[in-house]
Amino acid sequence: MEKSSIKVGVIDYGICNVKSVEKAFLKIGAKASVVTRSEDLKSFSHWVLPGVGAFPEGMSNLRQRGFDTVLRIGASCGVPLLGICLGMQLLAERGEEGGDTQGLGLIGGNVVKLSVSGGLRLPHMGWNECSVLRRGSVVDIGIENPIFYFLHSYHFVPREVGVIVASCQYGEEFVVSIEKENVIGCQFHPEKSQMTGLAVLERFLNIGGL
Amino acid sequence: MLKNRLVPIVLLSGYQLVKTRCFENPRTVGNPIQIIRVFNNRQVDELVFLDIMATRQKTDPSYSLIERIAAECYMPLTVGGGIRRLEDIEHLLKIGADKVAFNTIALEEPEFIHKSSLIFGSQSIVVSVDVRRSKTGWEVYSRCGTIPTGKDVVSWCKQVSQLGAGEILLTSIDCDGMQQGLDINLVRQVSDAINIPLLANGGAGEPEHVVACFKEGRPDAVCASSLFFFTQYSPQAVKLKLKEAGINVRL
Repeated sequence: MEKSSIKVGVIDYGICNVKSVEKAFLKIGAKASVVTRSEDLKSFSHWVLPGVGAFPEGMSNLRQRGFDTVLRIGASCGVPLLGICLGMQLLAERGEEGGDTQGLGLIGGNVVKLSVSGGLRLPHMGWNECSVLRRGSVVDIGIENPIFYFLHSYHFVPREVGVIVASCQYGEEFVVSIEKENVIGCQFHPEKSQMTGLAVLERFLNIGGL
Repeated sequence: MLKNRLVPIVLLSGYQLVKTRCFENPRTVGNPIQIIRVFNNRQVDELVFLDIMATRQKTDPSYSLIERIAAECYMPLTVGGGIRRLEDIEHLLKIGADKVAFNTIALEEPEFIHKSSLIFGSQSIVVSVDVRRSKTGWEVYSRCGTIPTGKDVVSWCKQVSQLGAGEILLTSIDCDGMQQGLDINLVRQVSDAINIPLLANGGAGEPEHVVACFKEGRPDAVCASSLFFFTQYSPQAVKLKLKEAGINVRL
């Protein structure tokens, strides 16, 4: 898809600062805007669901603003959708944070707390290196073990191994990126991961849109 | 595994970035936007930006400048100086700060640490602790090193950690700007006593100082300012030395 015809919609559902994500896309030369009304999403070729915060609150905010319905429809129609951090977790069927909450159900799996021991602390906060498990995925940016910035205490456990494209080690080994056709999730923050992160966003834009 | 971080720290006074020695005699080192752009181009792990004028003069953070600075950063940004209310934190996070750092308000009202971490998440809350050596150890100071509190650094840091802070930024006023090495005993005592991430600050003048601090002080991150402004070492050059010494860093 020509970069000039790409328009990235960064969903603002009242849970976190979305400007950094918008700015990162602008930095790599894409047209990007913050979207606060779900009915406006249809004019964007690529959708991004960011998020820092709690699963139940995230889902509640999406529902209140009508984004949950639009996201499910758009994803089934092939719109490239990138979930970042909490946004990736909300793609799941269920999340256990703060009680059992239903997610968007766009990629099978559950979100559970990271299990750490031996003096390791939560949240998992800082730079950590990942293993790229699928060639050609958004995290396959040409670096053997790319290092990204993380900030989270929960992680996505997918139902199918086939959706896993990258993993990372913190206490246990856990999934940090998933892809199911046009629906992609990154547990790390590409907008805070300097050039390595911007390269991931660049690869996301290469996925054809509507 | 999680990498150790090397974090440039910049001080704003008025409209210029400055560097102090023992928190005194600020000398201008340059324009904030340009310098931060350089640090971003150098792919640093993180950046700490402290407004020392706001704290001394009890004024608000310089929001419009901070917003412009945040727009230059594609890595985590911690902003401190002049924070007195929860609204200040909300405003800073909205305009692009990832974390906020405060010192004086935490000493005046320790409950502020707990409240702010409940509302904004502990990952956004950094408590800054400035200390000078005393007869019995190190004493905590407020308001940019001007007011002694009588508190011992280890017991204060333990309290800060229990109140829900996400990180502690620990600065040795005695070592600040002297480029003679960090106070490793101080760093180690605090690192052993707390269970939240620790950023060690004050005194780095050459890569070997940073190596020694990581090895013997055991912080999660080392901050440096004079090292980057007054020597030939870039952040990457320092990190190469850290890697050679066996320290796990992002390159």
